[in-house]
Amino acid sequence: MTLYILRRLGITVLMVFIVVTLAFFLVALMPNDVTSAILGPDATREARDALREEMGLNDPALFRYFSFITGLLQGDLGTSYVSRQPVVTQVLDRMPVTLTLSIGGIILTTVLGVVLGVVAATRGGWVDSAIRGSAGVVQAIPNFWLAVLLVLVFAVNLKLLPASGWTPIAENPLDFLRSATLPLLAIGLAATAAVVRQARVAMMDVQAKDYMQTLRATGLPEWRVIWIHGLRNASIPVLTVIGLQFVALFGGAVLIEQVFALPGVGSLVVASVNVGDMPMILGVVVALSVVILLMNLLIDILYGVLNPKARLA
Amino acid sequence: MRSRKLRVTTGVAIFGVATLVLTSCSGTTNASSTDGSFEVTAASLEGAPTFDPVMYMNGAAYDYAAAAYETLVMYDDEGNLLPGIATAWEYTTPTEMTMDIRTDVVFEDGSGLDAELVAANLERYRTTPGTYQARLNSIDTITVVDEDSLSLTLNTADQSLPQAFSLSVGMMVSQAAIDDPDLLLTDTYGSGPWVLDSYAEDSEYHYIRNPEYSGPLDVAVDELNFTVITDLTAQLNALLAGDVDLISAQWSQRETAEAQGFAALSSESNVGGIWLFDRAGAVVPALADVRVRQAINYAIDREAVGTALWSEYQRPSSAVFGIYTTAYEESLDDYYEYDPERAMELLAEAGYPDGFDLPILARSMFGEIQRLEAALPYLEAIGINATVEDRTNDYFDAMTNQEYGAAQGQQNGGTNSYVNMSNMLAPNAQLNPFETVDPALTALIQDAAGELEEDAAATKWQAVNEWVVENAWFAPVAFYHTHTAWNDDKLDGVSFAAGQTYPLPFEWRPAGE
Repeated sequence: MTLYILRRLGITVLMVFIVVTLAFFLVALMPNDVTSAILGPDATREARDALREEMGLNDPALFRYFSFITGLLQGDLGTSYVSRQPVVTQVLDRMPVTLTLSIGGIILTTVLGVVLGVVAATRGGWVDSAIRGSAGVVQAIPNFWLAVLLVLVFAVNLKLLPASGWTPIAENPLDFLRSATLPLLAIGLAATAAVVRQARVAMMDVQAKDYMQTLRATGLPEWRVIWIHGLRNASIPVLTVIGLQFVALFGGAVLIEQVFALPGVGSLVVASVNVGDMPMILGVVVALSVVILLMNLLIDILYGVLNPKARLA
Repeated sequence: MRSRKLRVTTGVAIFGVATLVLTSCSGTTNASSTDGSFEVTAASLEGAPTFDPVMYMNGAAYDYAAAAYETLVMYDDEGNLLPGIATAWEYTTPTEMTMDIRTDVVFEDGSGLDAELVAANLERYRTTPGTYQARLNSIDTITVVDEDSLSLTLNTADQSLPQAFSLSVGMMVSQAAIDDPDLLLTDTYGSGPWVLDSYAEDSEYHYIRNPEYSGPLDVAVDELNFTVITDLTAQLNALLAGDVDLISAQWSQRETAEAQGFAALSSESNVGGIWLFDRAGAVVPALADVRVRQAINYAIDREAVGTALWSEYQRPSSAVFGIYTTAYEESLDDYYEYDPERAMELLAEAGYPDGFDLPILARSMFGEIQRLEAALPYLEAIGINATVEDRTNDYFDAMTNQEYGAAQGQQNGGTNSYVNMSNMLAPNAQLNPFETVDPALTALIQDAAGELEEDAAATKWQAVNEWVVENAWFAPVAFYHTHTAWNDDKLDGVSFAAGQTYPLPFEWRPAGE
């Protein structure tokens, strides 16, 4: 198992390096000119040229790449062109919101998706039809549109929850829950539907296995047969879907942060791309790559735990 | 069976209690503080990139600096300049300006202000890359006369400096911030009506009243909050939900807010249209002929396009000088009445009876692509094959590299003729990328810029405006409005200062007061 984890870890480090390299050169190809954002619309061409030279933007891309990688290896992602503050600090300031959305969303997705999927598979009949039908409808709704609907219903019309803003959990846990409820629902419901469908199919498949009959014959309570033994065997395909949904949730977070005005990494990267703040864009790419690849690593490790055969692959 | 029912009932009860707890703990900012102080929360489209005025320009983020820093000069809703830190200013010659200042100013760090510090501030703005740095290019030397007065020697006649001093390059920071400008990255060092109390970057900014403020403003807001909401629809929802008290809006959102019982206001700010840069025909030879440029102006039905784009909140115009500038001349608004037949005649006279190809630089910001697409059918109708060239990511580079003979654009209508001229007509202006120089125009500009008598200067600037319209350097469509909506059950005194695209908080007061 240790060798398996080390091998996965090595692959993760390599992937981070590849992603960062690709991101650097893609961003370097972007035509955005940050000097417009810094100097404003009244700046003369001479002033913009001088600033570009001063900021080293005229240096060859390879030179800038090695400089960036050297900094990265020392934990330094550079300084934002616009705010002139360290990128690491700004990304770390924003990451809790995005992580809360993504991890909270994936927890919501996992719990709701697995429970509803297993209930649909084991109950059958109208319960199964209702859950499947609802999942189909929710999955068909884009999450940003769902977000707008939730805002209109629960914030604008019913005035039950805020339409925008974010309260950190450490500041006020109840206000945190109020500010996080709608974004989490918006980001998590569509992913939940996907997990429901996968969990239902996997559980139905497992239920048909002989060992489930054997377990029942030993006199185990039905809930143990289903929720402990059945679910463990059904969990591998479900885990795959959850891993994919986590990556999708990160992408969805960018839109959801816009709709709910949340100060996360998504809105930071949108603002940075708009003005061509290269160090900030790369900082966000590095941070998101690390988080996503670590999540993939975790999923891989869970595969190994749940399925010993995966360790040999 | 009983235990299952019990579980379901318990689950429903827990859910109900959780919902009640969540929804009863109101986090709304709508109410004033419990201690009776007046607290206002405004939505902002941007966070504060820094608290250094160097980086601030007129726009959504301007209030972060305007709240905390006093400017040398202030201005009212009509654009009239008023004393701020500077109590008086005068041009003794077209290239010499003197300025007297208040010395009772106390910065939030407890330090004071004198002419030396004003000079140091101006020197920093003049030499530090920033959004209005170009506005101080005309300053040659800054001389401290005594503790409360200084004089500026200019390298060219520039009567726009007092107006520039009402912007971020007129905001005074304390000596500590001059010595170490990095302090301004995370805090304010001003003497304005409010001081920054706390902030969560790009999310929430909290200002409190500055007890040391000694300026001319009588502000009523005790606690001023800015909530960053980068999407206008999300801002509208936040207003309707009671999360914020004031928002920016487009006209459709403004009307929605009004229909829901909120107050709204708009102000003429920018002019949108097609800028005909290539007046020598380097890239599009046809544009070298003034008759072709005039034909383009005659071809566009400004009334129809303006109404389609901005409803009633616009003023069709053939000129680019805004209503608050001295160069504004009402008769020029309809100089080019919609007349496609006249346009085709002019094209034929110029030798282009079958039209020509005209790629137009554009960007997908501020709805500019849609604006251009609304105008294109009118150009096609007179035979011009105009196409949209979307270069959103390098719009200004494409412009300054002279890749296109024309561009879709927008420009602030402004409050000062000299500034508009610097931005649009001067050889090194961003909106004159082909660096077109015409001796007749240059003479008119020099005459106007050197005139110290106000009425005579206005007449001369109007002559500049007239020349630009006649020679069709641009094909503007209309001056359009920027909008704001607010909760008038709570808040009063909302207005737009001339040329500003966002209301400043200085006059905000409790409703009914």
